[in-house]
Parts: sequence; structure tokens; C-alpha cells
Amino acid sequence: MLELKDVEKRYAGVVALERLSMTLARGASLAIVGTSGSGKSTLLRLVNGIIWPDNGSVHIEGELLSAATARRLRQRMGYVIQDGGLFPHLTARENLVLLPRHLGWDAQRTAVRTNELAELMRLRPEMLDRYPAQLSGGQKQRVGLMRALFLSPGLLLLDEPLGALDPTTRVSLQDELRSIFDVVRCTVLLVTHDFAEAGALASEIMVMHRGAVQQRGTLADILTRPATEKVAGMVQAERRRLDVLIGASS
Amino acid sequence: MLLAAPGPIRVGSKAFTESVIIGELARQTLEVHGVAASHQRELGGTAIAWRALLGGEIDVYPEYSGTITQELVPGAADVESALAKHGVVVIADLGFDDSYGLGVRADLPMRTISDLRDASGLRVGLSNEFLDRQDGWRGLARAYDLGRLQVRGLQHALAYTALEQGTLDVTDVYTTDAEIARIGVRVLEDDKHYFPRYRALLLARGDLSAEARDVLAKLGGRIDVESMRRLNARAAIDHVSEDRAASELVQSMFSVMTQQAQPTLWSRFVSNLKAHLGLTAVSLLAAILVGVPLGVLAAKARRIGGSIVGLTGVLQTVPSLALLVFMIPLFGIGYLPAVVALFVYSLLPIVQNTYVGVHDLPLPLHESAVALGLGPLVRTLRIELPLAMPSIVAGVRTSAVINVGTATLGALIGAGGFGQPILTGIRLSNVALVLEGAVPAALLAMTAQGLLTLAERWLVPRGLRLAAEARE
Repeated sequence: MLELKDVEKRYAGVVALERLSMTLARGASLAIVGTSGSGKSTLLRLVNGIIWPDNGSVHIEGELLSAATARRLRQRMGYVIQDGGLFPHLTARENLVLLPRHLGWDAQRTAVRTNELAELMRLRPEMLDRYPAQLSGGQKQRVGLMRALFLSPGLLLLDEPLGALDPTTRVSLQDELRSIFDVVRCTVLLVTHDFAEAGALASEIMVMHRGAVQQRGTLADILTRPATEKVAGMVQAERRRLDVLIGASS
Repeated sequence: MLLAAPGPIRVGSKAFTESVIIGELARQTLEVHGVAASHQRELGGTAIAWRALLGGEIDVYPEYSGTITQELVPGAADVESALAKHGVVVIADLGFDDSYGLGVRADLPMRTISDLRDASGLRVGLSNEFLDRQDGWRGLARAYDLGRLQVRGLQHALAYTALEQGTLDVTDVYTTDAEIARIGVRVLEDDKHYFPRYRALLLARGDLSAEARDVLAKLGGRIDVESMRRLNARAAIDHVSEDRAASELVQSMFSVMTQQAQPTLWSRFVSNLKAHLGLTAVSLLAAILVGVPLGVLAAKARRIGGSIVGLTGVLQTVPSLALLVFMIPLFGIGYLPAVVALFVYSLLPIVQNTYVGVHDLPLPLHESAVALGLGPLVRTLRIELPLAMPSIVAGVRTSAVINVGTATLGALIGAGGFGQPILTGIRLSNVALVLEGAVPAALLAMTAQGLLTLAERWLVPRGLRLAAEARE
């Protein structure tokens, strides 16, 4: 489904991503975990061609991502960022139909698809006539996800999808997302800094630090057998955070 | 160079009363002799009128011999052939000089400047400019041996008051000053021919029709210096329009009745408004149509973006008057050069604000648009321009206000508008006339501002306004 071959990226001489090769099978879900500056967002941007690698290549469903193929391939990838990335001058519905209209979908077809997705996202249809400024954080994120899923993409890219939400919304949407991924059955690549969220949303985790992959495995693998000292340190920090929480409550 | 158009003879004049009166005199003289003529009045200074003549924008205008020899064809041994090289001829010498002179109270006995040498106890007050000029007092005192006289400097306008009140005996004058006739000042004869002569002439293009030339030649020698003073006094002191002052003379000269339609305040307002709106609306619209795409281009094409914004910025720093003058060789005088100059002037705020609006689009929104798979054109039209709209509208509003204000200068190159009464009013020290232009111009600027604020509500997408309210 997705393959990166020897991909490298620098910004003004500073390594953002060390030489990296990886594959992601169709239907798989992978969460990239890392602190800021780890290269996790760079990786995501490279996959949908917002930025280009200095070396190496990105392949999607066997097709090389290039300037010539980027627009077509992007339309087969859904992309959701923190806060939804909705265009503030368009209503939720206008945000949703921007691309399908441009691709020549008729009103009937877009309406059917909109209702389908609204149901899946459990969003009341009248919400769709609001502007982003009139929606809550969770609602915005749902619309953002609807927009990403509109053309039934094979690959879904999520950059800190729950990052801007309050803890309660975060947890409930997290559970919902998991079941939505099961329904839409697309390959999922997401970026987060939170191990718990990564474990909840993806079956596999890849830990990154300073542009290099530290470890790739299940959440259990990483928690019980950290491959590097850095991973061990990150796990340790996560544990302490939880302990503090538990200690405070007992 | 353009061929002489078969239309009416176009008479020009510079932006001071005497020139306007003579221009009008020439126009009416042509008209009463059955030659259609129009008057492009108050064309700034010498440079503008001269270039308009060379460019074929006007056919004839009044000029002074001293200005011709010192500014138009400086250093020419044979003035006539030097003018001919430019395709210009002198077709009439009107009969008076408008040069520097010395004036004394009429009750004093002196007739010539030489007479001053032997007078005693004279109170001499000279304008500061005259005192400073090389060809002013210093040279004069040497030529006539007047070093003995006690001289003090004062304001030219005050000198006539002082003469009238009897607190001053001698001052420098322009020989056709209106006050000379009013107060009864005697202009002393320059018996040693010290002052350069400023004979009033009619300069015309060589291709002026023989018919028009013959008619205008009739004005030769017909206006003596007293007549010119009276005409100036009619305009400056009696507040009669130049057109009427001229028509009074034409009637007596050619024994005809001319009808000078006196436009009412309202009809003047309407025609000025039309001219002003014509300048502003067209130039502003053109600036929007060009400026917005340029701003988008500047934001998109990083390599040339800086140059585009920089260049429009440089154009903005050219003083508006200079910009108008630069336009004359390219576009002549009147409407077109004024519109082009205003267009250039209106460009920067629009280009800059469009550039900023598009360039400063929040990165997540830019990336979302790219990641969605929208093409560049759709991104620009559907995402970037609507999001930049508040900034663009603000730029247009700034442009509109600058434009309406600057358009008043259009009158200097014959484009009309509310600048016309301002210009005439300043020249005649007529505050009412200045206000006749300044007040509507200010109101027009405010109206433009108000209309664009209303347009903003309609142009800026509702979602953006909601987002802005939510942030507050």
C-alpha cells in the first residue's frame, strides 16, 4: 500500500529525517510516536507530497509519488490535521463538497455521500450548515474526517487528530475513531506524541527520535521490550505521568 | 507627433489669472469670428503648457518672451528659428509687458527709475525675492546707481497695502498687477532698459490653420498694459470670472455681443463630479483588475514577488505632481494621463494587501488545500482569494481614498474634476471657490470609504466574519 525507499529530508542542512525505508500493508494501521522535532510530521508530509524528499522515493499502491502524480494520488489519500484544517470561509457542507464538486460529482451523489458520512460520524445534518467558527472542537474534527473520507481513500493520514481537543472529547472520539477505521477499512498512518492514543488507534507503533526510527512494534512490545535507551526513557516518562495520576487519586 | 485634428482649435493657458484671461480671450476671439475653439485652462506651469503644445494637445497658448528666451529655447541666438525647429511660431504680440518694475505712489513726482537717484527721504520696501535675485535689486541698484537708498524687505502682498496707506513710497511690482490700477500706483519707466522684457505673445503650432492664425493675429497690439491690469483687476478684485472679463474686452474690441453662459454652482458641481468620478472610478477599477492578480502572482512566485511589490512601492514614492508631468510626453494632457497616473498611484495598496493576504494564509490551511488535491487555480479562486478578502478590501479602501484626493491634481493637466475650483480658488485667493472643490472632494473620499465598508460586508465571506467575531 505504502512504501518509502531510502527517504531523507533536511531543512537548511539540519536532518529532519534520516535515511528511512518502511512499508505499510493494505488495511494496516500504524501510529508514529515521537516528541516534537522527531521527524514524525515530516514523514507524514512527505507521504502526501506537501514536501519532497531530498533523496529516496515514496510509492503509493505501487505508484511513484512525483509532481506529475501528486494531485491524483492526494485525491486517494485522506488527510486530517489537528483542529480539522477546515476552511473558515466555507460551511461544513461546502468544505465537504469542495473536492467532489470540482471532480464533477452531481448534487445527488454528494448529498448521499454526505448523509452516509454524517451518520457514520454521528453528526446531526443541520450542523453541516454551520461555519467552522460555530462548531466545537470535536465537531470540527468530525467534519475534517468526513472531508478526508469523502472519496473513500485507500490511505488515511492523521496528524495529531485529537491534539486540540479537551480530554473528555478526546477519549470518546478516540474510541469512535477506532470503530470508524474498522468500518471504512482503509490503511491508516497517524502521528501522535501520546503512547496511549497510539495504542488505542493503531495496531502497530513506530517510535521516532531526531529523525530516526527507534523501534517499530506493537504497544506491548514497546512497553515491555524497549529497543533503545531513548524508547525506554520515553516509556518511563509515560509511566511516571500515569503514576502521578493514580497516586493523586488514591 | 499627431496631425492637427480637424476639430475645434484648442487654446491652452497656464494656471495663473493673466494666462487664463488671455487664453479665454483667444478662444472667444476665434468663436466670434466663426472658428470653433475650446479652452484647456490652467495647465499647471510652463513645462506642462509647452509640452502640451509640442505634443499637439493644444494648438496655441499665451507665453512671455522672457520665458521663451530663458526657459524654452535658452541661449538661442535667433529665437524665431529656434522655435521653428520645434514647429512653433509666434503669431501675435499682444502689446504689453508683464515684467518686474518699480512702482511709486501716484502723488510722487518721479516718472523714470533714474528719477529715484536724486530723490531724498524715500521709503523703499521690496519683496524678499526681489532683494535676493541676482537680476533684482542688486543689479538694478548698480545699473541706476541707487546704492544710496535705504531699503527694507517685506511681503509683496503687504507692499500694496503700505503704498495705499501712505507708509511706503516705492516697491517692486509686476507691471500688470491688478493693484496697480486699483490703488493708482505709477510704474516708473525703465529708462535704462535694465529689466528683461516679458512681452506677452501667442505661441502656436506651425500647423495651426491659416484661418485661425489670421483671426488671432487681430489681437496683436490690441492689449496695452493698462488694459491687462484692468482685466486682472476684474478677476482678482471684482471677482468676475475670467471668461466674463475676457468677454467684456472681446465685445468692445470687435463690437459684438458675446453670450457668456455663467454656469450655476449646481451645474459646476455636476460637471466637476462627473469629471472627478470619471477619473477615480476608471483608474481604481483598473488598479483592482491589475493589482489583485499582481498581488497573487507576487505571493505565488517567490522569486519575482519581492520585485513586484518593490516596484509598485517605488512608483508610489514618485511625488504625485511629478508623476502627472511624466505622463504628458507619453499620453498628452487631459483625461488619459491623469487616469494613468491615478492608476499607478492606486496600485500599491491593492498589490501589497493582496500579497500579504495570500502570502500570510495560515500554513495549516495552505497544506489542507494542497493535501486535498485541489489544483492551483481552484486553490487560488476558492480558498486563497476569499481568505485574503478582508485584506484586499482594506487595500482597495486605502487606494480609493488616496485616489480621490490625488485626482484633484488632475486639474493641473487639464483633466477637470474638483481640483479645478481648488486651483482657481487658490490662484484668486477665493476661499469660497477653494471650498467648492475641497468640500465635495472630501465628501467623495468619505463616501468611497463608506461604500467600501458596506461592500466589505458583502465581499468578505460570512464564515470569516464569524471567525473574527469568535476571536474577539
